[in-house]
Amino acid sequence: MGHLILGLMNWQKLDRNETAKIIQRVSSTPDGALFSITTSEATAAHLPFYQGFMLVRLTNYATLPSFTLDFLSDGNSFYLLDGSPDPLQKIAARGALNLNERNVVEYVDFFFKHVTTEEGDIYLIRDVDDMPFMDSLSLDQQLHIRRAHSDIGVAYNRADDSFAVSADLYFAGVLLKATLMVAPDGQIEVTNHSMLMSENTTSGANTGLR
Amino acid sequence: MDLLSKLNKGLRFGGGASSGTLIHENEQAILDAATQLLNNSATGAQLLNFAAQNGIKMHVLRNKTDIGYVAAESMAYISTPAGQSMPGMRAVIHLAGALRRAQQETIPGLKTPKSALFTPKDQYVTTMLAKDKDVLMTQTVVVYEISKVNGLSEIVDEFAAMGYLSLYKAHQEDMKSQGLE
Repeated sequence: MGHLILGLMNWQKLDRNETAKIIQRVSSTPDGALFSITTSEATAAHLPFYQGFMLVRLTNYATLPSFTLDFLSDGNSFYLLDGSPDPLQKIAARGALNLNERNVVEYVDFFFKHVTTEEGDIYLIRDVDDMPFMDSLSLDQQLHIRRAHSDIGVAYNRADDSFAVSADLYFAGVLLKATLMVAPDGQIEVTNHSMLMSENTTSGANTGLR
Repeated sequence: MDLLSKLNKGLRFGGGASSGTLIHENEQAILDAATQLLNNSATGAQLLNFAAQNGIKMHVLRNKTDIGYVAAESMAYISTPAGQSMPGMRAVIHLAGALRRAQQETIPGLKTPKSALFTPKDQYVTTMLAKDKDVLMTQTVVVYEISKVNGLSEIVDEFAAMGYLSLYKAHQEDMKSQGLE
């Protein structure tokens, strides 16, 4: 399907003037600025499912450890990607979300990379070899997962302009096969699921969960 | 709540937690819980005294990841996702790390090198590794003190979830071998 992989996005470094403007707009806290022009860098990347909004990443290399904030921006407004779904809702409410069968998987991937839950992160499994704990499993377990894994499927529902994405997910220590309903406003709901492997069978794995 | 409900709760639009600022909506409650816990550890109390004496401000930012860091010598930050109440046990570990990083700037050998460009590479790497190790050891001691002194074992679970259970156990063994447990 030739999906863009978000980790391989084409980041473009912004010049110092542009970076300074962004810092001035977004980084103020009650006790001073979080970023300074001399130690920070701003980069931007195009997202195929947003029109007029880009992903902007601000990194301060002087903090320990280096510190990054991600925003969605049209150049005037900056929406901090703060781990909640709210910024994505706000962008969609501004009419910037344009989902289709070619980009809806990228949107789901982006959503899960920037929204987290009380139980930890959600991983969309696009390639079993990229799963967070794959290397720590036994060969039998790896084989089981490879056999159970299926490619991501997308179906468009003309009646309500939604998409059904069938995919494998990893969440809260459980590997599951699920159907994700993606509404026209970008909200995602998991409508059904079946368990492929649970935490008990992946004991000892570093799952990356909080 | 079952798995599907937990998953969909986190994905649902309409929480309205996000504000126009970088500061987390539950900042005060998170800091109150974290500082109260930190005061239950001798090492943590010493870090809070250091912060008070040196005017170090503490803030909680909205961000996807839980982390503690120092943006300047006088600002210690922790961050956690908007719309969620950061558990106190997690907040105290990150806050201890951030305050220790601030304190390092007053400790010879642990002060941040001015720049990698103007410091010999070996020296820069050695110092930065020493700083990270020192932060982790400080967090381990704080977790140990809060757990042992106050009987709050949940903080060990939180430290384990961060990947440091073996480090905690090694420290515990050290204490035992010295007859301190």
